[in-house]
Amino acid sequence: MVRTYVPMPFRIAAYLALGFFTLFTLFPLVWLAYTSLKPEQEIVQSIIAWPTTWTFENYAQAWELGEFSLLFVNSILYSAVTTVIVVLLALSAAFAFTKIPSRYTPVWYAFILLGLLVTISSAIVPIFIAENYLGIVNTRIGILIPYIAFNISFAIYLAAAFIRSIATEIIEASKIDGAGYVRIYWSIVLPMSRPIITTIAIFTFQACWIEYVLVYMLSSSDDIRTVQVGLSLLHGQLSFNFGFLFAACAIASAPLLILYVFFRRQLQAGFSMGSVKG
Amino acid sequence: MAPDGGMTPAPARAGVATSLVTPVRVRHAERGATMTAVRGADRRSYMVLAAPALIVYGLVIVVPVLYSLVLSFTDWAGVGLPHFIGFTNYAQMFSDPIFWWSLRNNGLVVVISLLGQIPLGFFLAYIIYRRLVRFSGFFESLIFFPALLSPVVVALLFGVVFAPTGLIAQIIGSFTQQAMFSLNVFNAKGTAIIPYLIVLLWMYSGIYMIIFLANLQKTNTEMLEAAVIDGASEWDILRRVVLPNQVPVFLTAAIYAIAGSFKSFEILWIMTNGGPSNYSSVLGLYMIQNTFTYYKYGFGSAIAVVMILLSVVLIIVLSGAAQRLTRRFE
Repeated sequence: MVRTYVPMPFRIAAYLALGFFTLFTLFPLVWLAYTSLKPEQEIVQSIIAWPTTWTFENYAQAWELGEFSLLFVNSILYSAVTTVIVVLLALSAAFAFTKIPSRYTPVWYAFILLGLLVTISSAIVPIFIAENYLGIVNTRIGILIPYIAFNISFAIYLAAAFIRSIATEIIEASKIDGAGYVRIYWSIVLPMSRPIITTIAIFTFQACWIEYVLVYMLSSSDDIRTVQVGLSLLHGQLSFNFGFLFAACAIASAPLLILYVFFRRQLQAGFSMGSVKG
Repeated sequence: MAPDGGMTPAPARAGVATSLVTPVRVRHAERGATMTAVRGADRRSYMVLAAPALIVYGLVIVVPVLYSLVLSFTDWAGVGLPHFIGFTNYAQMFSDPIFWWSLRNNGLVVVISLLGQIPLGFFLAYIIYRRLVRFSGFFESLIFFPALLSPVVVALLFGVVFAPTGLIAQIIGSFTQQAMFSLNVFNAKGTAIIPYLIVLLWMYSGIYMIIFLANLQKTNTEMLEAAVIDGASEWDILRRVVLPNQVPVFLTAAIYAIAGSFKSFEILWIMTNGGPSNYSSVLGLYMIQNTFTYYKYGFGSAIAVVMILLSVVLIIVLSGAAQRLTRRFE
């Protein structure tokens, strides 16, 4: 990296800008964290003050009342199963689109990418009708299927960008040795794609973890709900106690923090490739 | 992956939407890969590999969206048979002030992205890229983190931050010595959307920073080196070397911002539920409320159709501009 001599005022301005924005980013989160550890009477006195005594009471209460053990099992189940299936479906489709010559590919690929513009809300009514007809509304499988479908477009987009970069010669050589494309996919392309598999997996898991509308609309019983839906319902019941509410928020976000600590690069890669957000 | 360089030749200039419009160009390079004719076995492999994803996607997304299109021409209310009523839903929507107010708020969301998140993201990325500060990785990881949080958590947190006696009210109160200060930003029709815009700035500027950073790190450093040797100042480097190269990225970012503005509404749904009386609504929320609160499935579908059409049209226009500009700068 080349560096110019940067004059002092420029450098100070850079520190100020970055420092100010980091503070703006961090402050609400720090406030959430310490308020969740503050006893209720102190919160009533002042919602800004730093706690004088620290307590995990809010967390214990939130975990208990929010039935988070059940919600966590559901969220982890949906996110993990979706991640595995999305990775397999997306990689195989991306391989076919990029390495098997076919004149239909542009059509299929455009068809898949259009999915990036479709919101869950614009398809949810017909999905609900169809699931009702099939008798799978308010079941785990009824939630999993749309989870998978809504994550597939972006996963294929990520996978195609990667597989395109794999040298065609390797595939050609195996072709000449008599291997079919399905075998090449399993024994050559999948093992070579490990970096993008991690990225897609982490990214899909994160997207599933924060999903809200889908489960809210397709579930009516408590035992199949996710952390996010449970959290939003908790808010309706007990909106007065900030400490309790914030402890629940922290519990719901803890897996994301862990994911971020260990897989920061993969998450940032997914977002920098254009995950469409507000 | 993109930020650590190397493995993927990520489409630096052509974003999702650009390739969406011209998939043929993207594919062109692979065309010459195999000169052999597609044999039956290969065709079968293609189907075996591509079909599962296409079927799941087609059945769960495309068919429902097409069904929504059909429903949008009916008066279906959840029970009984739908009756075909032509463009009545659309006419009703365009004469509904809530539709226009929601569209205005969608516009504001796009504006905050174009004039807030994107330039801010660029400047933060530039500071980090040019190593104007130490510990840039530390700043980078903190600024990006909110983008990962769930809409529910963000809505609950900022609901309290902007509440009448919430965090901001208390801070202002303690500075101005008014113990009972109350912040009425959520109650007035003109300002109800402002907390949401601030939340978007807080939450997603980091994404644009990451996008710019990934693209800045991919750019050719030769020009930069030449500029440094020639004694260019930091300001000249920014203005004459870096910025012109990033023009296509700005457009790609704008495309993401527009697509995103039609997609997200969950935060508002939980934080204000569109209130007071729909003044903080956006199209996505307007659609959800008509569908699931008033059970106007046909009408709700018409809103969904308009949303998809609006974003497709805006994106085609922008990606056309992006391609033209990319060509000019190459």
